[in-house]
Amino acid sequence: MRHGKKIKKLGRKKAHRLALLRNLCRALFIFEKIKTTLPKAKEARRLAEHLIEYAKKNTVAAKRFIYRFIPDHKLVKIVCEEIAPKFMNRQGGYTRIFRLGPRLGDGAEMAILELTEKSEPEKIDLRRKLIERRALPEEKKVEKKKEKTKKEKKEKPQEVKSKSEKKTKNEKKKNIAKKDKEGKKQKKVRKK
Amino acid sequence: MPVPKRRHSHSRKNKRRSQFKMEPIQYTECPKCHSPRLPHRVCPVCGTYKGTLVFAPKEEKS
Repeated sequence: MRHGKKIKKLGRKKAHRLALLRNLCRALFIFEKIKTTLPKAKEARRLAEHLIEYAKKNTVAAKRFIYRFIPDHKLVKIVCEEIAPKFMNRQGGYTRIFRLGPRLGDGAEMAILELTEKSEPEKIDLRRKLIERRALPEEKKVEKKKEKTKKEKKEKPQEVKSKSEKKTKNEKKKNIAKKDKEGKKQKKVRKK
Repeated sequence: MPVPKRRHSHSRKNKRRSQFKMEPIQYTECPKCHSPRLPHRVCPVCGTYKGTLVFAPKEEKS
């Protein structure tokens, strides 16, 4: 029976809510410290602590369970082999929430959700490189520049082509229109 | 439709509304930088809570 079991719905349908919580947990396990609204942090903590509880077992079954919520084998491995061992001496309380006060704009109470045992910042950076599809901000700039130069070279000849094609098409249309007009004029002349 | 039977006097209305008051926000003093801070919240100025640094404060541009 479900009596008395309350979940914060966060103003979302079930699928949407689950997706949100999964994303928050994913972010938490990558960055170990995330900033969200207080209700979201509280709900994400439930799932995150549940997952860490499983990760401490470090069995295949546990990993598969975690994979259901974090569909990323690399991250599951990190959770089980890097994060969970730090919590072996704890019976709970794997995460901590700091309240930050109301947000400007909508006045929502903001909070920071973080793991109580943290890894070194270099390790977190490595994790980001490994998992995040986008690179770190500094690398991103360099990559963008490279891409731009490539794109410019590629795009220029294509544009010229498309323009010339358009011109020919327009000319054809004009020619057809002219012919029509001439035809009409001729008809008018005949009527007269 | 139910309709009010008697008119309420200004006095009665004002007495009722005298209870519609707002309370000032209760601030506490940050133990580290002594600036006002909401209770049970991280200090927005120095970014600390119960002696631990939660986030690095923004550096002032001079």
